[in-house]
Amino acid sequence: MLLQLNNVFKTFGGIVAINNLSFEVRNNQILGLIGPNGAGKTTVFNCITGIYKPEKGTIYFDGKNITGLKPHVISKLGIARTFQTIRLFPSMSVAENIMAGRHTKCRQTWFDSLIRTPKYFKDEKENWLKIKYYIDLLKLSEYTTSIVSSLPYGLQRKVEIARALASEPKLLILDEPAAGLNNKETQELVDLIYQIKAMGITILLIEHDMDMMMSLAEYIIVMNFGEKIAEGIPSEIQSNPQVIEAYLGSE
Amino acid sequence: MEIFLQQIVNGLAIGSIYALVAIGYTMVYGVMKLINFAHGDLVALAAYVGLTVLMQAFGMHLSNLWAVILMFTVTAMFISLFGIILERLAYRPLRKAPRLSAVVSALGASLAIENGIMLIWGPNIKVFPSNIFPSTRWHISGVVINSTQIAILLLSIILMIALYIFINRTKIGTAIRASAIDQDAAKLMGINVNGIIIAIFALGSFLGSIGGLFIGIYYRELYFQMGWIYGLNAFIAAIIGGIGNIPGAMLGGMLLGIFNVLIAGYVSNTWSEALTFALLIIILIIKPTGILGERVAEKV
Amino acid sequence: MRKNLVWYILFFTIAVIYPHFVDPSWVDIGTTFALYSVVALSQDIVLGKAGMFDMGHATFFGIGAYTAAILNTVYNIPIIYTIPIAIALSALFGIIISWPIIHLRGDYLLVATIGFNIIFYQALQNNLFGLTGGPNGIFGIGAPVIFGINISSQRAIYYFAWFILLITMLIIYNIDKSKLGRAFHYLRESEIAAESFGVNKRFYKVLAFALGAGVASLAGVIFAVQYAAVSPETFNFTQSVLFFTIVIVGGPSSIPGILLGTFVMFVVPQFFREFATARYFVFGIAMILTMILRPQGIWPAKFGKLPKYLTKES
Repeated sequence: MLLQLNNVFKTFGGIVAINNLSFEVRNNQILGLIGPNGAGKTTVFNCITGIYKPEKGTIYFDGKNITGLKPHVISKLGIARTFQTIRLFPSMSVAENIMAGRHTKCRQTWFDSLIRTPKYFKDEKENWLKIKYYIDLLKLSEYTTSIVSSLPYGLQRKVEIARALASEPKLLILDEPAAGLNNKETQELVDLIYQIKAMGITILLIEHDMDMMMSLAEYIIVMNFGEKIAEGIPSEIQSNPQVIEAYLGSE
Repeated sequence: MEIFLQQIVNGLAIGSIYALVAIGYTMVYGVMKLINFAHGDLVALAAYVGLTVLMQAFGMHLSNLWAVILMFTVTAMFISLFGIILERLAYRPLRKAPRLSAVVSALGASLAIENGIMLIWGPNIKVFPSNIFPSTRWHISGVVINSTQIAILLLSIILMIALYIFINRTKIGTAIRASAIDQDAAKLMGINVNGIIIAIFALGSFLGSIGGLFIGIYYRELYFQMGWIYGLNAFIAAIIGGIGNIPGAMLGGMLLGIFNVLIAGYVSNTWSEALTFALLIIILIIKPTGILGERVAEKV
Repeated sequence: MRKNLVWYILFFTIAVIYPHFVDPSWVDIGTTFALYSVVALSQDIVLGKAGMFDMGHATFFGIGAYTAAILNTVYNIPIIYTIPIAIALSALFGIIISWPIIHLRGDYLLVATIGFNIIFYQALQNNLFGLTGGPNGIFGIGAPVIFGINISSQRAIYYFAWFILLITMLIIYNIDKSKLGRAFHYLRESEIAAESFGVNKRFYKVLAFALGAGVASLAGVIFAVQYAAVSPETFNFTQSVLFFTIVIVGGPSSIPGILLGTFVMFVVPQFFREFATARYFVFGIAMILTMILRPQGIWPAKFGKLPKYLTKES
């Protein structure tokens, strides 16, 4: 068990965003989280990554209680994410953006940075070479020095994933990675996600593209109004009447 | 106790001037997220323009009342127009620029206005005549209130109520509030955001000009750098109340006026600015958005 | 990189021969230019790199100058020893001041830093603890002695100031090309993304203030030496506005931009001394025009300068 949510509860100004949600993610699984808009999926991600603090319930990651820890601490434990609305560092280059993923892996202290100790040089070289690896992996080498805000949407999504991978996470959280991508790009993304799984990384995925979700996810959690309404393997979910009702509305 | 009440009365008079000026900061900030550092100098300019108009009016042998009315109307019109032109020239070209570039533009405008005042009226102190309002005083259980204070308080309260009704009950007011919440959404709803920004600059400058004239009438001494210090106090008032929030600016102004007077009266004159800022910092630490400001959560 | 190096060598070469061709008042301007550049570069760590709206940086400049002045005139400590004390004290102040306000967003932080500057200024004016000398300040500050050389002549101080500028530029350059600088940039560009990738927000923001305060303080010590005196006026809020403007006008997070900014905001007005009355009027309008024409600053920072082994085709 890599990630475990127990009765997580979160409100915003009296409105319940997540109501006693529990689920588990197994090692190296691709787990999908689906639900209509406003079901609270992104809020779940924000609770896991520490951006929000759940009011009740616990979250365990890799055997450690991470409930309410700061995002930077949780990141260090091996959770990386992408954002629903892309959050890159807009005026910086592709390589510098991906380098953010290496922040917790860089060993130089601020003092090494300041006066350039031998450790600094070794550390910089090691980590930049890692960046080169991820740039090549995502076929971004053409754009290494490009400023990210000048790149098309599809490429920005790729940079976000590269940045997340560069942190060598145990768990990768993808928040609607296919949003705004064309068919070809979506297919590339599916291949990439398989590739990431093959690297031994566990994947937690929110996606509105049902075809993609059904083919990709090994297990699916369905949310509506902040609650879990169903879970199971894709074929079970597709035939679940509650899920169909949530998506199509009851008669 | 009487001294204390007297201080409160004095504080309210000063506070209402701060409040009038603070509204200009808060409205501009609410819609444009810009600290209009030139606002204080616009207030100073109003005092100088007002003095000139008043002298001209006296020169034409107008009665006291008519001279004062003329001073208020001409100054208010001139400063409102000035505010609109300032926005057009110094801020609109920077609407899409990094926020701090617009701040520097505002600082430049402030410097230009301040030194423009010096070039026109000279570096020496100018003095407002003392007989603008009748020298009547009222004694109410040991507290002395003069007619200037009454006029300032009354006129400020009337203006603020009028503004409150305008903002909350009229179509333009609603558009201003909508633009403050979300400019892009307001645009999509067909609100002319440019028009709204012109309106808030006109309104803010109008109220600021009244504040500036009150400063002239109440303190009487005008110096070309005075915009900074009054502006800074009014700006603090806006933040204490919760910047972007119009009733907050009024409340903040009154509170700061009373605080300033009490500090000067009971604690120390030489530490007054430091204590004002200490108060501000403490309020910011306890409630970062000011008394009436709401925390806007960032959507992730 | 090569090309930049050539320009920097040219810049410092000119600086080295400059005092031999101008009269003493312009040597002083050259010294102050170097010191103001150091302060502006230190302000830029906080404002340009970490993206925190700091409009009270003259406080730290002043802490340096007053620490040196008080230690030297009251306790007879040689100037050279006051340098590390001043840096440490100012950095400590940077930490203490920024700690409680670091979570404030944008303009609220700006106002809080203005507040600290005004409190500092009034403390100097009011002769706090009987040490600051009130409105007149402190006179008779000595000169540093390094390796037996007494840095007291105008030219010696000039070269010392430029040496400090060189060191500061190297430090800033090192910050930019390292984990430390990248962490600052990430925080400025997107706080949430930065935190989500392990950047400890509070640590780096306070560190930015501490570093900025330390470097500004170093410039303050030399400034006190240059005039052999300190007075509150040089460290008031208007001075902070100047440093703030230098960074934004020049180009945040850009070393050449900030040097240019200091030149434009501090040296250029010196040419127009004769037009004393009108110059600031024109200057204010020039500030507006500069921002309209160059909203990113005169010489904006460029990102994407990466190590060779990363960019070359393999």
